[in-house]
Amino acid sequence: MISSYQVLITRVRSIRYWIVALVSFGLVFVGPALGQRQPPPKKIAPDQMVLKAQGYVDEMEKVADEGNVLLAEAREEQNIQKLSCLNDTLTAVKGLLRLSEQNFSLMKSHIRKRRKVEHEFVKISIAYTKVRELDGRLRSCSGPTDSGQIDGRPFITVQKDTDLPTEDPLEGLSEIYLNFERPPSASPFF
Amino acid sequence: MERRIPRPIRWEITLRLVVGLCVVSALGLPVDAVAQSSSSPYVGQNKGMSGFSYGPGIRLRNEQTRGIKAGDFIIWPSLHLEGRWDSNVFHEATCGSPQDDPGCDESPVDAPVLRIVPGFSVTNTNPNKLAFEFGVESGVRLYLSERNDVSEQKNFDVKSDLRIDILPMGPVTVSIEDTFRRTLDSANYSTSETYNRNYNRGGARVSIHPGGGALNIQLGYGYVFNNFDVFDKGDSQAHEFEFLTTWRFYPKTVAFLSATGSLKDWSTDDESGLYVDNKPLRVTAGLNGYFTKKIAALIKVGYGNSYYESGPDFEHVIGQAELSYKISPTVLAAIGYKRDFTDSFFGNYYGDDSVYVRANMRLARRVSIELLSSFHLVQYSGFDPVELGQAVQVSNKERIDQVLDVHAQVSVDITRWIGLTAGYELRTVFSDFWTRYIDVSSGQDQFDYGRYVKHQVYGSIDIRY
Repeated sequence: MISSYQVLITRVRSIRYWIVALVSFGLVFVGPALGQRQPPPKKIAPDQMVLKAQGYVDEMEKVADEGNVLLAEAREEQNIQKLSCLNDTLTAVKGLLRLSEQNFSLMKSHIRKRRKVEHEFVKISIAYTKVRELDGRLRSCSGPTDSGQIDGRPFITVQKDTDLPTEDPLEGLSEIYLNFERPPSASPFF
Repeated sequence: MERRIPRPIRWEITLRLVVGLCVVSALGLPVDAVAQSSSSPYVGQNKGMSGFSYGPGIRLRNEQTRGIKAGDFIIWPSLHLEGRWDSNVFHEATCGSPQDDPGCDESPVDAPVLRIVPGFSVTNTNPNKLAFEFGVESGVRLYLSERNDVSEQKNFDVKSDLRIDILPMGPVTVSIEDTFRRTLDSANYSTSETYNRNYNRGGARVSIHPGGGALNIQLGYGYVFNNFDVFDKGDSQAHEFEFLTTWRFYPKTVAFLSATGSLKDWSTDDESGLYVDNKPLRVTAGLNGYFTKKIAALIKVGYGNSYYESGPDFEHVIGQAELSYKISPTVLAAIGYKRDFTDSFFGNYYGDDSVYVRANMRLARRVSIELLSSFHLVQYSGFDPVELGQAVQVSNKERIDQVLDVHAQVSVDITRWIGLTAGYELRTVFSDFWTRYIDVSSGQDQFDYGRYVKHQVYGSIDIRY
């Protein structure tokens, strides 16, 4: 018969197991998530936020302008693959730029309301980060450039032993057999 | 000042010379040694498309060192002046005593021979979409003998090959080919009549090699005609079909499956039993290529059936096994065994079991040596002309010959455009077979013996550009 003490011990053990399981789960999943959380933005004045957001929007416009130049070049080259890649990326850049411009207008109109300004500023910051990624993609669409990438055909050096056989094993297999058989000596009737 | 070679290098050179001489000596042994057989000694030294000009003793021509560039083509002209001594023009036996060789009146006839062989090859330099190759050589052969039956053997031979590959680099390649030969051959007895013939094979191939080209599937067709100048009964034509699939599972090693068949039709329809139409079939599978840097092998085995319309058939295993060893990058030796069957002018066919050895050497970049020897056991299908009502008696119905072929050749490149070649060829047929022609009217029967020995020694000046 199971005593009340044993029941208690069993429950305690069960609770202990649950706690261990929860802690493990937390360490495995929640821990890294917490570790990846960005630190809270520094407290800056709304005026500074507006100035910084203006810089972000200008940067995004610059990326869009450069993208347009690359697109024109691709049209001249009639490089369909490059054109398609630039079009897709530039559409995303322009979309983010348009949203950022709207956010920036709202930001300026609510300059007195700190929370709203901060809210719009975060959205512009996120868009700016995304546009920077897209800027990299735009450049990779354009192929090799002078900005640190390899231009021209790769130069490949093949090194092999000098005593490797050069014969092709297929040679001879396709040769046509020409039969020039002659009547053998002591053949009758010839 | 005299330059002395360091002692270790001298030892190495001496050792290589000794090994080389041992190989040469071994290849020179008559019975166990070998090379490929050739029905015509002259044609035998040629090598297909590469021709006499590409043969041993002449450095392989390539675009960098030889040829005349003409637009998108390169032309390689050549001229060979050859002197030859033939010990047995008519393939006749040397008679023994009357007891051993009753009725034998044969005697070998020797003659000096002069050959003049001009020719040229042409190919295009940019074979990306279309590869073109054409080569032709025609040789005048003069027999310098006072005997009319010998001097009347003079004639000219022709060797011509054409090959056009459409899209040779593509996944599907179509090839158009034509091969023409005019070969010269003396009869088996003293006569001005010959076995000179004109042979042509024209055909096409389709090769499918998808992806990286490791797998290759090839289908081909060829139409052959074979017309003798005098020996009209020997004329024939054939439709030939071929299938070949290869899988290159290593860069220098392939597995293959091959099937060839033909429909042969003799022009004569006499009842002698010598000219029976047939549809020979050969199916083989095997491996070919290098298994190490120095050792290569060819192994193939399969089934062959001669499918004659009447008479005995060859239906047996066929195959080949060859082992090659590359002693150095310019010295190669090989030994092999081959079993096959051939359509014959005597009976329906003969089965041929042969062993062979061959060696190719290139010394000091100027001297080429080729040694080739083969020993054949030739088993003819059963044939008795008496059963066919002919007044001809044969020694035995089951004819078995043993044939030994030897070919040794040394070539020296004197300059880039001129070279010298010297060679020796031997064909010995060991046979106790004879044929007796019964002449009822005169009562004097004639005997024809199957055995003979034929030596040929030759030297040539080879001019090429």
